[in-house]
Amino acid sequence: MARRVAQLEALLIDRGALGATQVDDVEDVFCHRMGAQNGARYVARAWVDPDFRGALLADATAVVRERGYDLTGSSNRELPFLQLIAVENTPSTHNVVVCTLCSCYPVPLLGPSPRWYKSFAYRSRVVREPRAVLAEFGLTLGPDVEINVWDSNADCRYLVIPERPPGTDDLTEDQLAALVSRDALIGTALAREPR
Amino acid sequence: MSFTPGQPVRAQLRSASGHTRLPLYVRGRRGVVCALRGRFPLPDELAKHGAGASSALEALYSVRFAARDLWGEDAGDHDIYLDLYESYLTHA
Repeated sequence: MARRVAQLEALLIDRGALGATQVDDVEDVFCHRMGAQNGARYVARAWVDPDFRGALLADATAVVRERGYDLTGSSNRELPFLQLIAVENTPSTHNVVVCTLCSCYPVPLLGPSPRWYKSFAYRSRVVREPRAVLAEFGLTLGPDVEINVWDSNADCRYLVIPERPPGTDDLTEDQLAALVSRDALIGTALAREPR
Repeated sequence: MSFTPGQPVRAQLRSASGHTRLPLYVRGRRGVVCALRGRFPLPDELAKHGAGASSALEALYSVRFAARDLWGEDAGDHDIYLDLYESYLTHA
């Protein structure tokens, strides 16, 4: 299979249908430049910088277009979807994201979606009984915590900003980002507490 | 038909004959408009005519539904937010 793909790629490059590094670039985008490490950077920045947090909650799409996926401003700024909405967890509110009709999801900031995100079970149950579904993920919320479920579509996608864990006052932004998993960005987990 | 945040709306009760982004579980149900997300081509039309054909844009609204209004009193106390195009909605 790999040999056939390589031969096909060579032929397409040879005939001028593909640039010499085009396939490598696409692979690099999906494997390295897009991913939950980007979303985690966004969250860590929001934790340490109130102005950034405010901008993200007000218009996350504009923040991505200005600063790129990895916040350096040098990476890709074009979203393959049109609106990004950041929703913030608080002590009294928990947010969780789903796409009941398919699998819409902010890939540049979260990476390829996990298989369970596309499963009928998750998509049908998390809107109906989110508390039970989250408990199955190991996330048991108190009865007084309100849950908001965000059902995404192709035009409008969501990033959860989890709460900053206790005991993290002395951590650097990079150390904070390491506490934020893909699942925390979907809302099926919390940010980890530092060891 | 346009809507403003805070306004009660009802998702249309209809059976779609083609692609739509109006999920079955909110059809005919009452919700509240929370925000205007922007204006976008209607996915139902995009699916029929392709991206180049239609340039008509529709307002997209964030609409909040209470779980109880979708599945009854024992459904829990959470809210579900969907982004729904204006032609999916009527005044409630």
